[in-house]
Amino acid sequence: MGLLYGCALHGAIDTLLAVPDVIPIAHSTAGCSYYRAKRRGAGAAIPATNTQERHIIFGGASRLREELRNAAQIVNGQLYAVVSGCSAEIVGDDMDAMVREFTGSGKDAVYISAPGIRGDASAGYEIAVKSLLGETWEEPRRDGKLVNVWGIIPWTHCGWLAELYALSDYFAKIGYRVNTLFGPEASLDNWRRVSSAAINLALTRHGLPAARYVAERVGGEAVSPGLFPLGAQGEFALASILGADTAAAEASRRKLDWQFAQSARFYYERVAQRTFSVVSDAARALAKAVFLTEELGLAPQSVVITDASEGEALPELAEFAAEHGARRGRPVRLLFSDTESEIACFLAEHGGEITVSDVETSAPVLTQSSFGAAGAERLMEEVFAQAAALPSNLLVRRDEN
Amino acid sequence: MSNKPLKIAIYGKGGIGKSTTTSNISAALAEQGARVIQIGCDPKADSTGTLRHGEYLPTVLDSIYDSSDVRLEDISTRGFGGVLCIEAGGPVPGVGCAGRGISAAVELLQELNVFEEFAPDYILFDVLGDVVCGGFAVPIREGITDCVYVITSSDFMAVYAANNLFRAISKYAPSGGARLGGLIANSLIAPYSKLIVDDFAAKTGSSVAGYVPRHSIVAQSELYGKTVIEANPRSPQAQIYRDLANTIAANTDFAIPSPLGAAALKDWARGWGDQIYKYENNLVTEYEAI
Ligand SMILES: Nc1ncnc2c1ncn2[C@@H]1O[C@H](COP(=O)(O)OP(=O)(O)OP(=O)(O)O)[C@@H](O)[C@H]1O
Ligand SMILES: [Mg+2]
Repeated sequence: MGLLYGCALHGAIDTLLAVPDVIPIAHSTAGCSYYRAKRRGAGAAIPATNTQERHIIFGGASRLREELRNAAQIVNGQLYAVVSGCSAEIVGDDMDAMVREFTGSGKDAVYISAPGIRGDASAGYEIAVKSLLGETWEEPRRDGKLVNVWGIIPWTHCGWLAELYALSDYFAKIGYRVNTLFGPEASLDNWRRVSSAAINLALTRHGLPAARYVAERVGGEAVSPGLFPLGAQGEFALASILGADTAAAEASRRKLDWQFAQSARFYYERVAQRTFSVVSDAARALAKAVFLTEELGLAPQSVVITDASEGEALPELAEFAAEHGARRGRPVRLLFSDTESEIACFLAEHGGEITVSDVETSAPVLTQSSFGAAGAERLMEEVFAQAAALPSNLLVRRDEN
Repeated sequence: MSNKPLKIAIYGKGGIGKSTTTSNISAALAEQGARVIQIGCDPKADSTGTLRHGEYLPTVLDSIYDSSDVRLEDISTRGFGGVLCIEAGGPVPGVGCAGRGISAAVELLQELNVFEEFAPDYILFDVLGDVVCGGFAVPIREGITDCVYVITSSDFMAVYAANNLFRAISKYAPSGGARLGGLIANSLIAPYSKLIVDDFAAKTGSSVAGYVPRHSIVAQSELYGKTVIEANPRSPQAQIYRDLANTIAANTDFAIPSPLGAAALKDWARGWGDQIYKYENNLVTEYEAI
């Protein structure tokens, strides 16, 4: 993960902000906390210590003490989470002591060490999740139908909230309940129920550490669908992991087939065999590429991964690119980048006829879930809209390059 | 005196005698009419104590903490012979970042134009023992000082620290950092101490600027809150400091030292261990021990 999502500090703050009972307080320089507010447009302003030179030289603990006191007066929360940036960690401020002192005044607080030097936003997500678990852990009361969903990092994907809601709805349909840990309905009470959930689902690779951590502590198993559950196929995959009823997935499959059949004329005229590019994080990019190739019969041209560096092992993605590259006799190009200009340059050279991208542009996105049948419908719609602007397959002999 | 000051950094293992020696050098130079600034770059802020009879002096960093508008008068005082005494200061032990403090203090002094306005002939930086992080290397980085003197005794840990300092010097010197003026051998007692320091200098391509014996007059002067130069100006020890000061003032031969590698340093020490054993047991004479 790169600049687009910030560093561990931002991943941690994003994660905490998605739990309404929790008030994150950044113990960092102004830029570290400003960065987050800025990239959200309006964004949420969070309390921050705004560390200055003298707090580095003489230590910033007393500044933190002051900010904790101020924050407690201004914003009401059940848990105040002090998240430390690089400066405080390098200097070695005793944040534990400040938090303990504050807790002594009757408020709950926790110190979360998430300096940017510890890694990217996904590292911050993992750190924050484990800290929250440490604060809320309770003796498990086994609930066989309760599911913890991990790996959707709040705000690092514009469809994160829509996806969590869509997942909740789907699990309800197949007789399970999602333990709501992020978003407006999340609460610390739900976090206290984490240990009771029988299932820890890692939806993306970013959720694996958390899922395994919980599963190990309660003696359960972390499960993962492998491919991000896009389309009816994804719904089947989740149902089969749980050994749940597949009726809902079958209904989704019928609906998608129906939708496709309704668009058949348009499909053959404008869509079939087009080349495409995908721009998304690794999990969703691969799921979309697979869907567009296998279900919609398009030809993969290139994939842009926004949340991984070139060195990171993503075997499924590499396999997909190799297989389809070989099949088409030309490579499926991969780019690992979250820099807009770099992506634009790459697409200018290697972009397909159709480009599906879910990188948030200037306007906030509210409904962009990639999960399940609805995710597939949205994807098809996006492809259809772009294809409509392309010349008809029937009228023009396409240049087979 | 030329109008460009000679800027000298003094480094060495903790407690080796940096502040004592630096203050005596400053006093000796001032005694001859030179304009001298001594800057203690140590959170302990005890570098210039014997130049100003231990009187209270707010540190540069104290003033950074208290206000943004700092004036030179607030953070300096004139000591023996008119030496301008400045202490960088720093956090209380165990909190904050003293290294950042040193760089911030040096930066502030530059902003205040101290080095131009006071028109010194010599500026001496007395820097905390081990260069534990980048902040403590600031005085030997690009342009702040011209040369470094490293104080050592013949004790292995002092030599070890000197060797580490050589590593820092040889790292920064090629890109415009300060070069080595030489070693200063301090607190010599045993007859072979001088030989050990000489040999280390020879092995690392450096030289020894002066030899200061261990003498109770140093401690006695310190108890009066004075340098040896001030408290006991006619003592042989005072003359030794004057000679050292003159050597440093005249020296223009600055070098980039070649520190010993870990294994070579160990072998070197072991070799001396054997020699001293023989010497202490009257197996060889002093000079055969080389
Ligand atoms: N040549 C000497 N003879 C006798 N005593 C000495 C001699 N040199 C230094 N001392 C004494 O050794 C003690 C430590 O010296 P000093 O404070 O100058 O060391 P330092 O290197 O500045 O220490 P620090 O690293 O703590 O700043 C002092 O009490 C000083 O009087
Ligand atoms: Mg000292």
